[in-house]
Amino acid sequence: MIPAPDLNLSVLLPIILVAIGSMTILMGEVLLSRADTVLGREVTESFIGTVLAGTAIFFFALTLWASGVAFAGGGVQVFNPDNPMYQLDPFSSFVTAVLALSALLSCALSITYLSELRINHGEYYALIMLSASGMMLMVAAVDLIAVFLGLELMSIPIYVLAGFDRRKLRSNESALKYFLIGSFASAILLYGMALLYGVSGGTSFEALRAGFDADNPMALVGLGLVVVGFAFKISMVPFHQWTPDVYEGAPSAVTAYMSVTVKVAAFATLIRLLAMAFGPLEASLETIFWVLSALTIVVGNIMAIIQENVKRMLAYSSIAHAGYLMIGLVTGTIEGYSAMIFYLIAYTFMNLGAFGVVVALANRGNDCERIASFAGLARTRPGLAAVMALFMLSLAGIPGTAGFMGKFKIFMAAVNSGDIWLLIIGVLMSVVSVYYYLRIPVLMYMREPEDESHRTEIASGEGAVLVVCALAVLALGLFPNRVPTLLFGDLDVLDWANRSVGMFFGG
Amino acid sequence: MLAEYTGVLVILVLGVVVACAMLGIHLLLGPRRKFAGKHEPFECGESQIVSPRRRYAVKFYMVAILFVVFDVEAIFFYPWGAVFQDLGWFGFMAMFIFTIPLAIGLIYEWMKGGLEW
Repeated sequence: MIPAPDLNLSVLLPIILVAIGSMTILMGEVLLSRADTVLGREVTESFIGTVLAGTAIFFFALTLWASGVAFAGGGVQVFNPDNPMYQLDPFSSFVTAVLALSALLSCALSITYLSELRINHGEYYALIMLSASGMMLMVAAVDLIAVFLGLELMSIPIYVLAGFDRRKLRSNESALKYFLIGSFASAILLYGMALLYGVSGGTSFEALRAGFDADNPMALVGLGLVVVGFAFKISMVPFHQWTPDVYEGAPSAVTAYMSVTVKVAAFATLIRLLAMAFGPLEASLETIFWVLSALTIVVGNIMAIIQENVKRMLAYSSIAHAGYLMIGLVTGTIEGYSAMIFYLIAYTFMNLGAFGVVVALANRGNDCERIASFAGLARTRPGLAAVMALFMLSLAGIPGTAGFMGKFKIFMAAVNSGDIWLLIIGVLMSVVSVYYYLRIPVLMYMREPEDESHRTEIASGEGAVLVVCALAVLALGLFPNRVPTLLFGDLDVLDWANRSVGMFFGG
Repeated sequence: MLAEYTGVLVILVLGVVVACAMLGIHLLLGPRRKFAGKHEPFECGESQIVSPRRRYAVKFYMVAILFVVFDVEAIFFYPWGAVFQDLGWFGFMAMFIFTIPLAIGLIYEWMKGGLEW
């Protein structure tokens, strides 16, 4: 008789919820498309899409609640004590909550956009949930194999989502490019993991930490390959070439989803990997990340200036933001990591918001993509123009917005750990970024409208997402340590960010 | 120890030398004349009437995708079956839960018409 392992299923509760949600949606799609009427309502394609989007939002809300409760409870639990692959701790539950929230917002954002494109199928939401479950697995993983499993579960549905508008050539091209480059990156990552396993004799983070020998060239090559694998996922320069093409070609709602959540999940995993597995190596890693970070900030911001397409501009801006985020990795302090987590939250809201405006302007699937098409928007769509201006100010890091608070915390951490040159590069390039971010508000408020091809009314889902993002951007920028909410009282987001990474420093 | 393999080495070298010699002799001595017949499909078969480079439906990919569902199942079921008695109820429940997503995948494929071709 083989003894049954003592599994702690509550560790994987958020992931189980999301996985059940995706299966429910798949079955719902099949059953609904065979029915004529449900509860007296005629079953149309958009009806199915809306119902299943509601299901996805419901399950994400459940996940958000479950991980919120787990975060409030604190403490560290492992899934299987004999072989710790997944771990429920403040860090994983906090990041899971952020992921669930951003996935929820992306689902709400997608409904009308997909209906207009006539691709509002249930599979879209099932794929979103599957990739979200992969991200949640990845941030809870404390073993290289578990990290890889989560990474693939995250990436494969997103390859499909990028090509979800399958009648459009550009969408297909984007999916294929992302698939090829993504699988290439996965292979590199796997090679690095294999070398690390060879060096340390184990795949768990604990074994890596114990068996890692920084003088062994094989260990350094393995570590380098793992960093390169992640660099592809979070589009660090020089591994960023795919980003603009993929972001431009994918449907805008998918771009909104993947530009935010993939970055949150991959950065969180990198933090955990560095803090738990490679603690002793920080000196040599610091140089690598210093160079990558400086390159990413400079190239991302400079390339964004010359873009004429909003989605490409936002893609380069997301590369630049990845560069700012990496400053936190360079510092390697609790302050730097918690600043990264806060920045990721701020980035989630402002980037989802910016892409949300692009989604809300898309008219029957024709994306309002040219930067010039924002001209005079303040006259034709004053509400949208106002929130777009807010998101652009926040992305540029103007005080009073979440983006400023995030950059301030990151730069502060850099000052305190003595990375003055990186700070100077970051601040100078932020000034450069103001030019291309403010172009859009200038066009919207100071030019006459030139074409009227964008949509003239906003759907309730999009409106709700934009309002939530705009309020969050303002609240996180003005009172990050006591965000006022109607339901839950004041929220201390800064303290949460500190507590989530505190566990890596014995807190 | 390596001396035992001298024979193999001799055969390898001889093989390479003979193959190169055969090709080389043809290259040196063979006459080379060009005429239209040489550009036709050689000896057997018909000359083509349409370009073979066009797109055609590959129905088999459906079979391949469907196969993955059963393939993964089989990989896990064989070792599970071998120690079924030893695993007890835990093993049974674990496998039961494992088959649910697979079954859902199959039902989805079936109901969506993936099995009709």
